[in-house]
Amino acid sequence: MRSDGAWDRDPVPDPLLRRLVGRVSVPPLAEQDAARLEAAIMSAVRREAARATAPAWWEIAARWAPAAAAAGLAAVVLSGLVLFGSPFSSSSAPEAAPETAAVAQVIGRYPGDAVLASLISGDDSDTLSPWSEP
Amino acid sequence: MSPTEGAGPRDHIAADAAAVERVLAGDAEAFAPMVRRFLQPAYNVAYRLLGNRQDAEDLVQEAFLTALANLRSFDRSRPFGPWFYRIVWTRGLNLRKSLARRAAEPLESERHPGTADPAADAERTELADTVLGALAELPERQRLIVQLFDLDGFSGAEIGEMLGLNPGTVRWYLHQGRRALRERLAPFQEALDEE
Repeated sequence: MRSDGAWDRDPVPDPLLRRLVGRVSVPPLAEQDAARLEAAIMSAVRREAARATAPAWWEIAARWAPAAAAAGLAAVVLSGLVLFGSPFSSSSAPEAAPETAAVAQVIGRYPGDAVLASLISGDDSDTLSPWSEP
Repeated sequence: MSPTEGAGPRDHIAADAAAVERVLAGDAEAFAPMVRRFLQPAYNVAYRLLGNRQDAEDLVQEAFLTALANLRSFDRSRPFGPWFYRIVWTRGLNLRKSLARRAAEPLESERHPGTADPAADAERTELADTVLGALAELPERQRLIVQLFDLDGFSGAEIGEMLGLNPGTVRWYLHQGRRALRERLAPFQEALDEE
């Protein structure tokens, strides 16, 4: 190889070679072929871009993880309540008050006394009922 | 002039960098002007390598998608073309290997249709056969470099970047290839001059 700088820049094009080699070379893409190929490439590019921006399953999973954890916890608590009952409520049926019969007797003796009836039935409303003489 | 030059190289570097920036930001349409600009030269490179239109089109499409997938690794202070042609070239070599095609096959000739003059047709056929033979006799690297430089208009630097060679080495191969072709094709110079 010469070292006198002959390879430092490109040679001038050779028109004869260009004509001869060009004769047996396939011509460039025709306009409609180039347009078709360009459309196919851009369609693939759009598909790839859409796929790249669509979240992956693990991203979706990570996004919903806190809500899913809360829902799971709530489900466990509710299941526990259903199966074992609430610690805040009594598991047996409410007992009948032993004084029910006596109370009925007292109310029966004063049938028109609304205040007495109200006191015995446990009505704790603050509203005052109009006073009425027995 | 480089096949991808038009405006100044600096203008192209800036335009390419801006387009790449937009594509990376999610604007796929910003890739369209780049596809339009580099389609034909990329097809020429692909065709020189594979020698088949359909394979060349497939390779070009694959190369654009590879470029898109690797856009983050593209150095935006440099022109897009050589980086992209390098992708076309390396993917083309892999594809060719997988297709198990010989490199000499690219000389798929498209003869001119026959004319009313059988003698002229015969002469043209002889010329085409001689050119094809002369090209086929060249070592593959020389042949590809001659075609890319003299036919497709790539610069020595662009070819060097594509093939992973020093530009000086590319020019040396070009010189060797041209010399061999000129020797073989010299008898046809007069015929061509008369046309």
